[in-house]
Amino acid sequence: MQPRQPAFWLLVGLMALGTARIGWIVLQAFAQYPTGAVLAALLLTLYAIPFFLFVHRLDLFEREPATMVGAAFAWGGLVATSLALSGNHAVFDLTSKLGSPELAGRWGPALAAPPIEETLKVLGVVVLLLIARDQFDTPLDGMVYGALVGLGFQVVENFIYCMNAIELAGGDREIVPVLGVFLVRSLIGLWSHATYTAIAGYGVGYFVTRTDRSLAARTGAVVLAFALAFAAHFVWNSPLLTDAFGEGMGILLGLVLKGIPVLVLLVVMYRLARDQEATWFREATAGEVGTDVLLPDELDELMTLSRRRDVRRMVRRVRGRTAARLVDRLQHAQLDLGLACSRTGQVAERDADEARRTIRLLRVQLAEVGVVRPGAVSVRQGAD
Amino acid sequence: MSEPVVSSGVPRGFLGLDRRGWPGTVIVALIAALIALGLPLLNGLVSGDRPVPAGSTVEVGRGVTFTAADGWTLDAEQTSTRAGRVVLARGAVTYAVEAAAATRSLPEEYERMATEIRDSSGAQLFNGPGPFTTDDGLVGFVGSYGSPTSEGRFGVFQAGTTVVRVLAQGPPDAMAAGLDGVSFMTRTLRIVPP
Repeated sequence: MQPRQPAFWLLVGLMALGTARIGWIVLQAFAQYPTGAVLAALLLTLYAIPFFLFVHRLDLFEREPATMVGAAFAWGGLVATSLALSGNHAVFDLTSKLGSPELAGRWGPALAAPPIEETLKVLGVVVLLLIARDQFDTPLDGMVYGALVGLGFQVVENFIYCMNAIELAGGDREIVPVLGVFLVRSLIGLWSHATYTAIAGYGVGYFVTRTDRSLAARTGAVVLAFALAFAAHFVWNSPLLTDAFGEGMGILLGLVLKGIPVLVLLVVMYRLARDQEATWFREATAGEVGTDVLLPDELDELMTLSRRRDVRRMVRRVRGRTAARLVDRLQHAQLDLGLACSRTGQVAERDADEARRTIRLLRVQLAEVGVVRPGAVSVRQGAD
Repeated sequence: MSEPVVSSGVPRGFLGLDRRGWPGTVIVALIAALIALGLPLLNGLVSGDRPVPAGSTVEVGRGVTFTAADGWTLDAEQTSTRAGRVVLARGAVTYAVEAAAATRSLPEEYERMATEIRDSSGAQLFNGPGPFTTDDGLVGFVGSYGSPTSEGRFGVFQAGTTVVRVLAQGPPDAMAAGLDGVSFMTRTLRIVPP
């Protein structure tokens, strides 16, 4: 977080407003429907946790800082939701007035939510970019922050919808309406908001990091990514396919069919982003490969989580838990080295030197427990 | 140097913050303000009144309909077919009809609505529940109330799994003038299962 950035104070101010507005809604919910509110909060927390862990692992080479992760989630859950409440309501009303109440009833969600919500959510990614530009190294960073913004939005929005469902049911029953909303919006929705904003966030990340491409190409990418997110949200909210298979399970089937293409698109984009991230890391560490701090084999092992894990497991099996922990630290130090090498400036150089020192020290410690890689120069011979 | 630069190398601008961040920040703030403030402002400027022809059938949802009386307009802002709510207006008098899933018995629905009205600022019930049957044979309970600033008539009807809540309210003088229309529209309520 950078207090010297104007966007930091914009974030602080909007989060204060969002906290007040959403906080009031949540407090009223707990006061009015305590059982339903507790159940909804519990279900949505359990729903968010695996997604958090999953997103945390998406960026293979650089863990996003906790403050940025928290800010992304908070923007989605507090800022975007509270601003969207006003915007959505206005668009619904305008659709009703300028079109008809019937049009608003049927197409209102598709006409209001995508432009309002997708814009507000992607603005969260932009704000994080303005605050901490150095945290955006590849398009994958935009995708990860976008997913977190979307997750925050989805969790809070679903909580509000759970409370609305209780009220619509007459207020007598709290558990069944909450479970119904959770099933449709959370499970069948399969993190829809997170998916949309991950796609849009990829575009933002592409625009700022792929400076090897022309401005026109980068602009096209960010516009296309946002358009895809918008279109996916529009289709999801529209009555298209919802009535095609009849009531009850038919509606659920329609929703699933609408969600699958978006998930497929997300997987494709993630693989693309991950490959770009790997290329970025290889280029960043090109000057270190073949030295005592990063062997070619070690670079290949760093490319995927599974390969890193396999190395640690093998070491643990052969040399024990202590050795495996040292290898884990060595891998992290090499990742830090790559990250430092990708940046410029005195701070980056200092971080790179620090990483090299750490790697060499860990090699000594690993040698003491019997783990020596062929090709790794002995620290006693190669030390400064 | 044209601008002061802090020791960390960040060029200071307005309020001592990094001047490079201001354009993007201002753009984000403007977009957010447009959505959260501009759209509601625009909504407030657009009138929501739409004339409803006398004798036309108004659909509320869940198979509920009624016939519009002469001189009433549809309040498009308050109306939501998705939520099963239609609001008509005649001057200062509003006539709201809501259709929802029935979760309690008719007397309990009436009592719930009466309680809501009683709990609203200073409202006193004049009478009710009184039985009421529409032209189509739909049976319900009706009541009336008064508060420091308005009078109203309300009623609940039920058929099958659908309950209909009706509320007409406005300043006393306006209510008197609109009472015939309110009674007419309530008599024409129908519930046709979808």
